[in-house]
Amino acid sequence: MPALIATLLEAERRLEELTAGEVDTVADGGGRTFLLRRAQEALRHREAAKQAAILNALPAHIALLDPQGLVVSANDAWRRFASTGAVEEQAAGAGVNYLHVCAPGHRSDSPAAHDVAEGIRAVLAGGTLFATEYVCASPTGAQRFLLTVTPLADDTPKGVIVMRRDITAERQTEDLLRASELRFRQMADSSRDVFFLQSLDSSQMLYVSPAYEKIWGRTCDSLYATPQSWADAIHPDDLQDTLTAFEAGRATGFDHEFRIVRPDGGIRWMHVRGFPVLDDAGRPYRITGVVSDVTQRKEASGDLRESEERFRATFEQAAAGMCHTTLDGRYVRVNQRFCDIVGYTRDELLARTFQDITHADDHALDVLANQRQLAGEVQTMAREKRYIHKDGSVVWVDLMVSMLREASGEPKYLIAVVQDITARRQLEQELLHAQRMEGVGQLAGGIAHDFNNLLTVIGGRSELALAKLQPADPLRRDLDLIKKTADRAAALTRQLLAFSRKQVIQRRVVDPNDAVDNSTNLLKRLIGEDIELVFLPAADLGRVRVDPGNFEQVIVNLAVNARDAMRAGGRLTIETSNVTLDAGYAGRHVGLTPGPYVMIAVSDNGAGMDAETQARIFEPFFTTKGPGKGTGLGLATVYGIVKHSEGHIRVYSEPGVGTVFKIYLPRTDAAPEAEPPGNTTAAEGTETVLLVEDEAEVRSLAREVLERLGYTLLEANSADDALLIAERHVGLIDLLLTDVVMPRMSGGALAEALASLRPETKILFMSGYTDDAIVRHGVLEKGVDLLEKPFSPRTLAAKVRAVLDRQ
Amino acid sequence: MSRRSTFTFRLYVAGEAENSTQAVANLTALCRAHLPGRHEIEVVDVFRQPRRALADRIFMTPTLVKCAPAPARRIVGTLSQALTVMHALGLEITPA
Repeated sequence: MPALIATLLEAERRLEELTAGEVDTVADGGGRTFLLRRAQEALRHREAAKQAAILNALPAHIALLDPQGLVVSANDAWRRFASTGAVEEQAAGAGVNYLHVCAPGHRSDSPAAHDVAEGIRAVLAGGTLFATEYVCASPTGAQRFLLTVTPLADDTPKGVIVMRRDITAERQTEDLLRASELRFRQMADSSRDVFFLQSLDSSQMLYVSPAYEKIWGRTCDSLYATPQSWADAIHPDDLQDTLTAFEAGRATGFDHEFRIVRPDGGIRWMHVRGFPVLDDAGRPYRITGVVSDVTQRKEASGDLRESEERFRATFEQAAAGMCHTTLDGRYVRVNQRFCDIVGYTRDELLARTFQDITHADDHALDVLANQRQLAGEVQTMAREKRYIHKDGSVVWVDLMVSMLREASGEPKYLIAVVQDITARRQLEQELLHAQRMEGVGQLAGGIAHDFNNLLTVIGGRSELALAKLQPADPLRRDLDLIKKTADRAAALTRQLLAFSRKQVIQRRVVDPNDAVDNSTNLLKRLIGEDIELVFLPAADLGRVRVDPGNFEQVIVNLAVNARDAMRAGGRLTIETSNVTLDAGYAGRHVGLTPGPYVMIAVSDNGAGMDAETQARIFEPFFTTKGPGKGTGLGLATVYGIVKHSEGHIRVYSEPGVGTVFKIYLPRTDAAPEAEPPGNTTAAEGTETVLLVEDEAEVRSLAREVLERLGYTLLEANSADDALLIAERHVGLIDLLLTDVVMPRMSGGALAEALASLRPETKILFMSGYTDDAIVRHGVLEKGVDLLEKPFSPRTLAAKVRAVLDRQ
Repeated sequence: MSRRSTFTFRLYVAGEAENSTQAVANLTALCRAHLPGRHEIEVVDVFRQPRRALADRIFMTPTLVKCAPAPARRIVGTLSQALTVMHALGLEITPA
C-alpha cells in the first residue's frame, strides 16, 4: 500500500508540473474525480480566510478560548480593544490566558470580572450559555459591555467562544427612551383631560390616558377591549351629532361639544378636539385628541348668556337712544332708538365717531367734557348738544355720558343715553320769544300811555287853534303841520301798542274778504303802479273776530313790505281760504289751539329772504332797510296783532323767488256785525259830564272842547275827587268820562263805585292802554265804551254824543 | 468561417477549486471583450454532474470545450493566456 500511495503522489506531482499547476482535478475511468493536493489546500485556505474575514468584520469582540482558558484566536475587534491601552485589558490578546486576566483582585471591576471567570469555567464545564453585563472604565470613558460565553461546536476540541459587545450607546438610547416614555406617562397620567390615540383603519384604541376612568367612570381596559364603548355614554340628544362629527372629521380633525351620562347618572359637558395623524405618505392613518370636561364653563356661560340676553334686550328696546363708544369716539354699539334719532343705520354709525355727527359748534364742549371724565373729575356728564341728522337738519338732544372703567380703573369706554329734545327746545325758543315780546310790550305800553296824553294835547290844541283861525290865515299852515305831525305820531304809538299787544282792541265779526276789499284802494295807492295787485278770495269764506282797524293795519304793513321787496315791479297776491289746523300742528306752536281757521296769504315775487332774515323778521326794530328808512315795527306789529287775535302767522321765503306770509285767524260762523253808524248829527249837547283825568292838559283840552259844545262840565283830577263831586252834586250826571289808568283808583274801579251811587250815569272811558279794570286780555268787554287816546276834539265830541244817545 | 456565428462553450469545473474559478472568470472576460452578444457559456461542475463529465470524456478540470462553431476544440487550464486561447479557438483579434 505505501508504494501505491507513493506512486500516486508522484503521479500527482508530475501532473502538476505538466499542467503548470493549472489543473484542479483528475478523473478516473470510473467517473470519480479527485482534487489535486494544491487545489485542496487552496480551497481550504480560501474557506478559512472567508471565515476569518467574517469574524474580523464583526464589531463584537470575539475570542476562542481553549479548555484552559487560553486565547487560541481572536478577531480584530478583540485584538484592537486589547491593545487600546485599557489597563485591565492590556494583556488579553492571543496567547494570554483570559481566565487569569479576569482573576479576582487583579482589576478594578473585580466582582464583575470574577463573575466572568466563573461563567467561563461553568461553560467549559458543560454549561450552555453565560451572559453578563458590566461597566468597564476605559480611557475613552465608561463603557458598558454585554459578555456572552458559548461552548464550541462538538467536532473540534472543546473550548468556548467569548463574545463581548459594547452596548454603551444602546443603553444610553434605552435610558433616553425610558425617560421620554416617563415624561409622556407623567403628562398623560397627571392630566385631567383624556388623551387618546386611535387607529383609523382598525378603530383599535392605541392609547387612552387614565383620566378616562375618572371622567367617563369606565376603565381604560374596557375601552381597549371595546374601542367604541366610550360612545355608549353619550347623551341621547347629542349622540347623532357627535357620531356625525367624528365620522366627518376622521381625516380632517374635529372640534365638538357633547354631553355624557356617567354610570352614576351625572351629566357632564365634554369638549373634544381631534387631530389626524399622518403616515410617511401623508395620509391620515391614526387620530389623536383631547377631551376636556367643560361642565363648569358651560354652566357659567349659561348664566352669563342669560344675563347678556337681558342686557341686550334692555339696551335694544330702551325708549331712549343708547350707545357705547370707545374712548376716541368710535361707535361700538348702538340701539335702534339712537339710530332713529340721528337718522343713520346701525352699520353707518358703527363706521363713524360721534364727532362725525356732532354739530361743529358743540365739538369743543364734547372735548372738554371727555377730558374731565377721563381725568376722573366727574363720573357722569349731562349736557345738551346738537347732532346733525343724516338729512342735514339739526337735532337737539339731552346727553348723559358715563365712563365705564376696567376693574383696574383704566377707562374702557363711554356709555351715553340720548333724549331727543328738539321739540322741547323749539317750544322753549318760542316761549322765550313770547316772553321777550311781552317784556318789550310792557315797556312800550308804559311809554305809550304818557305819550298818548301828550299827543292828545298837541293834536287837540292844534285843532282848536285851527278852528279859531280864518281860512286864509298864514298861521294855518304851521298849525296844520303841527296837527298832521301829531297824527303821525299817534299812528306810530298805535303801532307800538298794537305789536306789543297793549292796545285795547275792539273786535267785531268780520268777513275777511270784505275787509280786504275795503282796503284795496288804500293798498293800490301804497304799492304804486309798477306792482300788480291780485286778490283771490275764497268762496264761502268763514268769518273772524278782529278789530277791523288792526286787520287793515296788518294787510297794509304786509303790502308795504312786499312793495319794498319788489323795487322793479312785480305782483302782490292776496288769497283767502278756509283751513283746519290739526292737533299735531297746533301742539308744535305755543298758544295755538287746533280747530277751524281762516287763512289769509299775502305773497309777492320779490327779492325774498334768506333763512337768517326769516328767523328775525318779526323782531321789533329789526329791519333790512337802511337807517331812517323804516322803523322795523311793521312786521312786529303784524305779529302782535295776529297773536293778539289768537291767530298764527308763518312766513315762507326763498331768495330770488319771493315771499308769502300766511295768517291764520280762528274761524267763527257768526254773522258779520255792521259798523256802528257814523255820527252825522251834530255833536252838541247840554248834558252834564263828569270829567275825570289826572293829566292836567288833557283834562283842560277835553273840558274846553265839551264846554264849547254846550255841555256842563264837572271836573276831577282823581277818582276820589270824582266820587266826592258825584256825592255832592245835585242833579243828574249824565256821563262819566274818565281816564282808565290813574293813580290810587283806576277808572274802572271808579265806574263800579259810581254805578251804585248813580246807576243812571253812562260811562265812557278814555285810554290807549290796557288795564284789567275794563278789559280782559286787551279785549273790550261788551257794553264798555272806549275813547282811544290820542283823540281829536272831533272824535271826543262824536263819541260823547254817541254814548249819550244810546239807550 | 462566418464572423457572425455564435460561439457555444462548455466549461467543466471542480466546484470552487481555485483554477476552476479562475477559468470561469477568464472565459467570461474573453467572451465579453471579443464575442459580445454571440457567445453561450455552460458551466458544468464535475462534482455535481460526474457522469456527464465521464460521458464527455473529461479527465481534468478546468477544461473548456468549444462546441460551436466547428471544429470542436478542448483546452485545459486556467485560460489565463488570452492570446493562446484565442488562437486555439480560431479567433482573430479584430479591433473593436
